[in-house]
Amino acid sequence: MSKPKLQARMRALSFDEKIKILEKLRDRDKAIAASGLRCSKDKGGTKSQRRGTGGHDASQAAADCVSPE
Amino acid sequence: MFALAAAGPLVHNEFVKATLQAINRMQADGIIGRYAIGGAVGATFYLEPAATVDLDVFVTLPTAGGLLTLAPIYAYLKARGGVEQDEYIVLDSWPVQFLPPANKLEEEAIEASVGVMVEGVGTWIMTAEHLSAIALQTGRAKDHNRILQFVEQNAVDRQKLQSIVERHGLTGKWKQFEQKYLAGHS
Repeated sequence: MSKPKLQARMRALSFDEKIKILEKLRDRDKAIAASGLRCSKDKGGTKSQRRGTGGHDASQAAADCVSPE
Repeated sequence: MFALAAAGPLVHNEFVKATLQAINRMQADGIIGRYAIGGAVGATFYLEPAATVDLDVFVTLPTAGGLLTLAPIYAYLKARGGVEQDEYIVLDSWPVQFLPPANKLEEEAIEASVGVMVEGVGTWIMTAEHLSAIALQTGRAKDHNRILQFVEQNAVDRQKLQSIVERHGLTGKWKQFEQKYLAGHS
């Protein structure tokens, strides 16, 4: 199936079905993060930082990155 | 290689439902006013699902003494099993970030949100146009990517978006975005 067709199919799912997929994606993401293969934070900073409402320090977030070794 | 199975079962369908029920209870108890889901979960209503670690809830707070604080939300939820973690409070395994509107655009986005049902639980989702405008305002790479998804998948009303963009002083940012990403799009 082509990517646009797959996207259209996914987009047409009910919100309930999408939420189930979203939860699976999130769990997979957590598993990958727990494996130490990914940075724990977006280096661009958190939403709170972007909105000026507090949150983590971006340099700390970068320091939180774990080497894939 | 790492083992995905180490994280346990991969399907927890009830977590979002339970989280939304907790938020609705909090609203019924008067801790929060109107709320609307934004961010990646909000966008998922209109687009294909995209991986996200948290649930963004934009929320109006009853004002008392003029001081805006999330403390009542945290106190309420922690008393009911919520766990504070960085800028989130974890409800039924979902990290939830409560975001009081930081500007008129976000206030309008809450007001204009649409009621939907998730697994039998009522909730409110921001419109596609407001999600796009907030993404434009936030301006990270992943926000721009989300706007592109909305536009390329015709999931956004371009005229409505244009109107919001103009109303909230984002015309310059939108022009830059159009020039950079939408050359050739009608």
